[in-house]
Amino acid sequence: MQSSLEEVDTGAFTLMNYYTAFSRPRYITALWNSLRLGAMVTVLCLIFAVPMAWAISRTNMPGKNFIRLLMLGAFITPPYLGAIGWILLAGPNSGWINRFYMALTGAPEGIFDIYTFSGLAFVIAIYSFPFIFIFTAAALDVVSSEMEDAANILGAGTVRTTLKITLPMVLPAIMAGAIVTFLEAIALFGTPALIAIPARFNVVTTQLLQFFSQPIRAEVAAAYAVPLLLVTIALFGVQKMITRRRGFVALTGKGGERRIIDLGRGRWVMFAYSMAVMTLAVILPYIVLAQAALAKGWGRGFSWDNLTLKNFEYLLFQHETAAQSVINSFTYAAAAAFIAIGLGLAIAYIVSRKLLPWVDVLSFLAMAPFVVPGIVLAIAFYAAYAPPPLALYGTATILILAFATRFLPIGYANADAAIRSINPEMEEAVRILGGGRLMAIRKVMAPLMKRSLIGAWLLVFIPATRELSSAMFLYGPNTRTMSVMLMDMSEEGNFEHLAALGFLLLAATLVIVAGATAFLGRDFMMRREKK
Amino acid sequence: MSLQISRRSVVAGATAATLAAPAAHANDAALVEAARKEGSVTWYIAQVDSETAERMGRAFTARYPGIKVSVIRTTGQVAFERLSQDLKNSAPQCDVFSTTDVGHIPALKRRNVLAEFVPADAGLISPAFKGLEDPGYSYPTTSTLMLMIVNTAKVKPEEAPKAWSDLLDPKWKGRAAFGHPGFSGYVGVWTVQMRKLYGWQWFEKLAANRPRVGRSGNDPISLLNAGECVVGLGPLSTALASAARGNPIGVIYPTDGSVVCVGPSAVMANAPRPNAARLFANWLLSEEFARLCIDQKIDPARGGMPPIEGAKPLTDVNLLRVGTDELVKSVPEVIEQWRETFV
Repeated sequence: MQSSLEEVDTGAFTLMNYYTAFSRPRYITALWNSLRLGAMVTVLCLIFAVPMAWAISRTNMPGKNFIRLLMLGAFITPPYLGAIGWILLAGPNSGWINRFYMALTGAPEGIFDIYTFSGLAFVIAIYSFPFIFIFTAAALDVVSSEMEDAANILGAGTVRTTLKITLPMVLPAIMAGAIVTFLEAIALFGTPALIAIPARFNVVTTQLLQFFSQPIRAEVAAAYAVPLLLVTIALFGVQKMITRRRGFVALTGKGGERRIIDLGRGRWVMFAYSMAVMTLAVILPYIVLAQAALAKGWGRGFSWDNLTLKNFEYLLFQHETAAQSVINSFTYAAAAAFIAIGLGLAIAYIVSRKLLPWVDVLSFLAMAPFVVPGIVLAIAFYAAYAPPPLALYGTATILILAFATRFLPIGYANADAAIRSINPEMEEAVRILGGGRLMAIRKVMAPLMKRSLIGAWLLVFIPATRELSSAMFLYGPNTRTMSVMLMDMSEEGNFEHLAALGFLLLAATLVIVAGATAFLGRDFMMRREKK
Repeated sequence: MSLQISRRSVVAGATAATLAAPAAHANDAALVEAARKEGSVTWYIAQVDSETAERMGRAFTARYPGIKVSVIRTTGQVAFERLSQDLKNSAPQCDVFSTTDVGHIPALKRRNVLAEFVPADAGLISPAFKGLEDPGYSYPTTSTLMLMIVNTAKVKPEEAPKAWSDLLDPKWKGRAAFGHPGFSGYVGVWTVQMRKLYGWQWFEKLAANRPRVGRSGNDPISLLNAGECVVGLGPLSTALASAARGNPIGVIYPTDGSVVCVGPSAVMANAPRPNAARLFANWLLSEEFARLCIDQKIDPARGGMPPIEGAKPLTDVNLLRVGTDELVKSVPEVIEQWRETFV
């Protein structure tokens, strides 16, 4: 089934009209903008995420649980909703931060303008960095301290050891996270639509939408997406080159001791840094959204007679589709996550053990859906599955398949990282002792990977609940998802209900994750059991 | 060319039900029964927001028990893209199509995908919409005015702009908000009208004043509510609805004209539920539907309805109207020009 999906995508690429796709400077600028955007977002995410992952996984930084909770908040916030929060915070004229700054300094103009290229990169980054955090922290959790100890004994300090020993050991995980982030940034539609268009520049996704308006030029759109695919291939090439040069197998089956590093007073510095990032990503945006969610008319600002709980009451008890759309989002995302993880695992295992010829192509195909912008993916899915005999239009199945395909790369990248971190020697040991491959998988691989796969499931589940661009075209009257609903509300200027729905979503996700955490006895973002 | 609509002619149209084509499709028992057997109707709708559309659907079901309304609500251009995909893949979903871009209708008619159908109350459509129907295929169902909106908390009445031309004043630099004709059908109509009035140079001068361009025709209302911008272009309906919730939104009828934007509806030829489609299309011109519109500050196409609370009588407004043919030709042009000048 998966290969048939891929053929839909790749099949479309053979009917290209490259000339039209690149005939205007405007189109090429948009492409260049996307690549720059992806690069800038990735760098920002690395700066945000890697120190925090290290601090939480390896040091005695205080308030780890609190930071993790906020990280979860950043991760489950639909980027679209966060962008609205940030427009309210850093709009050049009215943003809260700018007004505060102007009041404080008497300056005639604010200091931040969200309607800029860097503004867009920033807003995307603060809702994408959890990808890198989770990948990196998961890897750091299983790296033993032996080599760090060796470095310490040889006289290296904490900083030097971290930079020279610890981080290089988890480089494959950091790179996997960085690639996912890069691809996510260039395939995102909602946030650029909200910020780039008013800022008067285009990126690939906003440009693609133009190819799908009258006259519809789907082939041109497909041709237009090809350079992104080439970039993806190049990224994988780089990743291969780096990871091949050295060995990265860190989980060897021998019990490595993992030691918490005492940062001394530096632990408060790390805490302050983490809190600063989280304030930007979660605390500030949700404060402004709270104002809208609790307002009768949000344009009136804070005042006692403007406060109301009616928006929540309305969404929960009167609005026919709001509650249903949240339920839809969760069930589709859950189903998609099972499919994506299952497929990802199968492909990753085949690739890592080279069970089939052309495994590199298979590996590439598993990552390709991520770079195909959701809009293009949705159109391809529509063409493949909406007409008879399948006639899947308006069904949950078509959305689940689309989400599973779109997030297969996350499932694959995680499964791949999990498999790579396990020394094949352990599997070989089983086989030398006469066990078959299936037995090796069942008795050795599965138990070792169980935890990281549950984490991976949540890593697909959460972005799938936020997914907008592919849902936009594929939902039917009874399958509207929460993300589509949020967009409708923003287009209708209905910010009071939009913000309230955002909070309901946050609450519902927290309940689910808390349930899962209680069930697993640990946090999904951490691989290790709490001691 | 601007067209003055007088209240007298509006009322006259309501009483003179002689415009109806002979083949008008009445709500006879046979149609209702056949529609009930089909059990539902799928409505692609861009003219009202999703909550209103759902409410309208429920009202229809209450009127005709057993017939559920499946609402697909998007902006005009997205609705059309969706419909085009349905047609291209021979996977018909839509029964009744209600758009904000009248240019969609001739495009669909050329492809022979519109059903020939005259709603029962076609004769009761207000004469204000005369010439905007495509007899036998498509009839206007709702309309609103695209006019100037202002943040009343930040702009004193005496300082507010009076005409579109005032927006070139450096005083509004970076503080004026617009939608995008590439997304919003109604913004496209307004842009065509402004180009006709002042030429494209006016937009180039406007661009120099760095306006904030969103997508939907309603985006400026959000920007004004946030205080990010203080004046802008917006639909009367959403502006009044937002003001009714207590937001600081005021409307200004520009002296150089408010643009009449009309949303047409049509029954699809390959409608999977043809009888329910016809019953629903009839209902879109009913008095019940018209009242639901007025509750949401939207002008129904049906004539003889009470005026919208908070809106000026149309007799006192300088109304600008663009013909369908001109929109078909000019909207794609201005979208392209807009993208060159703005983004």
